[in-house]
Amino acid sequence: MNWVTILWSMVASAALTLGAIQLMVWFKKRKEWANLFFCLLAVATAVNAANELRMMRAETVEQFAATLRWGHFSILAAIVSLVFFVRHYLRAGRRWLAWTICLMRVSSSLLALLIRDFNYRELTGIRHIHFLGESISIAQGVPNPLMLIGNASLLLLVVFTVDAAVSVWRRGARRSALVVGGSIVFAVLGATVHGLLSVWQIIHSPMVMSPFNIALVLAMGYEITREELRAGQLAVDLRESEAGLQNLFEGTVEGIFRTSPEGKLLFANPAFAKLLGYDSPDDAVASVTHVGLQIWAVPEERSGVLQRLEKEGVVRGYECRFRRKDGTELWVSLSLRPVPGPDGRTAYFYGFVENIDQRKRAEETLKRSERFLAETARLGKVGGWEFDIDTGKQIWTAETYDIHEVDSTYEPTVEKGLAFYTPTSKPIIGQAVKRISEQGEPYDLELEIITAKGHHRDILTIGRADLEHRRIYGFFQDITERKQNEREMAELRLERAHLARVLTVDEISSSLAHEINQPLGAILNNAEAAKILLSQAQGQRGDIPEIIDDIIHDAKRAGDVVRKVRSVMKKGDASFEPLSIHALIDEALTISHSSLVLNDVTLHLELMPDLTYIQGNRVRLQQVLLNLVTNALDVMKDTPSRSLTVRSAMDGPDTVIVSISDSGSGIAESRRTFVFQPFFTTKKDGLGLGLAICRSIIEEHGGRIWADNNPDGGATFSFSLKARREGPA
Amino acid sequence: MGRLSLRFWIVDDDLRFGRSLKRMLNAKGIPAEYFGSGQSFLDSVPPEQSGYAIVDIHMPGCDGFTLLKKMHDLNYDMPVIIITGQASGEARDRAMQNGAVGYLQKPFSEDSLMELVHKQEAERSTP
Repeated sequence: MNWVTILWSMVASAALTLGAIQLMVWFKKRKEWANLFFCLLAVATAVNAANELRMMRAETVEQFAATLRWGHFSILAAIVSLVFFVRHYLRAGRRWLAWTICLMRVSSSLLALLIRDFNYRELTGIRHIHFLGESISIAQGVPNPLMLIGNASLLLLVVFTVDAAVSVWRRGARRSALVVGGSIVFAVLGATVHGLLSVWQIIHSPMVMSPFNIALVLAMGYEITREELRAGQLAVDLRESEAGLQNLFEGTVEGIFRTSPEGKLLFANPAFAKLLGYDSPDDAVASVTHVGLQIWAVPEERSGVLQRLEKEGVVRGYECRFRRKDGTELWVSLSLRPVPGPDGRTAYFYGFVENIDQRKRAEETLKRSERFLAETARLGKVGGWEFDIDTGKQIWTAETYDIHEVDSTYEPTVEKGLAFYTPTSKPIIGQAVKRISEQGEPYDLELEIITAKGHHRDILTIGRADLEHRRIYGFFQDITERKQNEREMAELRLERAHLARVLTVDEISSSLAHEINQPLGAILNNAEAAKILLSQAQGQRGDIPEIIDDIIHDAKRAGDVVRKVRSVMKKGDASFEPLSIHALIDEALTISHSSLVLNDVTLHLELMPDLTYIQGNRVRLQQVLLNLVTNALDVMKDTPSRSLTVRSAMDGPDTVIVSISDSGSGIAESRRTFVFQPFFTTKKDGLGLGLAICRSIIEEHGGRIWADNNPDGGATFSFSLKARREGPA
Repeated sequence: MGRLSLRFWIVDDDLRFGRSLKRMLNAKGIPAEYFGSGQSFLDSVPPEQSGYAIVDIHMPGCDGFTLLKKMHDLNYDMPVIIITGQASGEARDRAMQNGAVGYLQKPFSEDSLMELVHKQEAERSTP
């Protein structure tokens, strides 16, 4: 078997194959110069193998020498490739060493080409030896020491490689340092020693390098392929993890974004874009050039957060409002983390946002409604409470605490609650609580309490039972003010009634004086006359019976007046009764008679016959009539023609109307609505209460009082009263 | 001042009061005449007539003050005493301002009337 041909051919083809593969790799990744240099190394190895084969088959010395000469170039290519492979692959090796090696090798190759006897001072001939089952040619001659230049370059290559490997080793890539450095040192040293020994014919072997070369190529090929496989795997892993990360970014409901320190949006995930109403993450990134102004609802807030970030390193769950693309705002929970750049300063911020708008709005709505309830409770002074029937444990709202004037540390119980009531209210509420607890009977009471600070308060307390849940609930309302108003109103009413009575008594008494003084004067005169006559002569006593008749008559007359006034006054504050309005008018005019006569007033009565009875209080309605008549007389004092008209009429089946018209100067239109106001008066010495009292009396009777001006001068005061179907029983 | 010269003219719409006053004065021997209204007095008693007019304020048609004014206009010389059933300081002032010599509130006694008249007589006789 001719093994030499087979092996050398195999070396060449293997080297070419590996070279071709790495060339293809280099075409894909042009920046990977190591792959290219490996390719060159492989090609050089293949060419070298071919050369050597040719040399070993040389028939003549010339043939051998030529092949040897040209063979230097493939070795040059291999060494240069190796040097640059080391530099690019290991990223190590001193540059000057590399260039020195190249320079030495180039010069030795050139020398070999130019000087015929570069390897051999004298090439005497070729000899055939048997090698690996084949007959091959080897040179015979005197070796030239000049060729040591080439060998020196190889030694330098070893130094260069060791140096590079050491630095790689130090860098931590020990495996690469050993494989690349070790194989180069071994192969180069091996080839050099073998070359020298065969040239100096110490050993009888062909001067070949291919075994070392192919070992080197295989080792480098192994290393570079392994590296590529690893890189490939890494790339696959990276792609996978990127895809995972991408899925995470795109699938998560959290908005994720990245901004520059200046605030430009650099990255956004779909959730972020969607959250803020952008069409896509790209749209968001393109649109947002300043998150502070465009995204933050309150731009100043961002500066605050960034300052906090600087101090604390990370901000988590910061709740703030972001602005959407359409300008609307939403609440988000924001987490921010700065990412430092190579210079240590913040290169960008990573942010995570969660939509908490609904929660926040719900919170706000809740807060608002709580505030609203509290305000309403405060305004209405309404406090709620409930208690557990079994435990007696009570819950109060804030306002209930305020009503009782206790602070929030107070722990209410039913017993303690009952203790606030006044002695008169306590038994009432006690009974109510007992009944509601036992039978679920609701209560609704106006009672009185004494607060913790000793203030007296009127309260409305309402209780309802929810026996199914064994609880009782209700509310307190502070009605002190209302009660106070009611009391004041009642007092005012009493005062007004009293005042009205005083006024009426005054009016009546002046009329009364006249009506009674008149007969009393006559009685006195008559009595004196009788006394004189009785002391005189007999003859003149004939007049005495007539005198006594007059005395009796006048005394009766005075008695009648007193009776009539009493009939008006005596019923006092008696409740309402059926009354004839005409009888009232008659009484009032009787009392006013003398005033009417004195003032020379012509009285006209236009009374509707068979007028229905009304339901009312005699004295109070009499007050109204007297007041209206007195007013009418007053306003006519300066009028030459004085006439008073009293009318009665029905307005529908249910209303009786009484009007009193005077012939005075009427009421100025601007004053017409005020005349019923208290303390409105046109009189010099009037209190201005008369008409106000009239109105309150008529309104008490469910009627109405009003004033009009007459078409032919003067004013008419009218009031309406409810008609009553039946007369007095 | 002689007793005979004293004379009263009573004007009052209240017949019973007027009659009683006349009766009382007559019983004392003092001449007195009664008139139911101011107009009947003016018609019957001439302005130069002496005596005292006793005039009630409250009278329909022509009240006491109106009569006082009319008497003044018609140059009646007699002093006028105003009487009334109503108690009113205002009425007294008004009466005095209008030239009345006295004011009496009913019921009044014979003494108080006489006292007023005597005082008036004393003032008249001493210029």
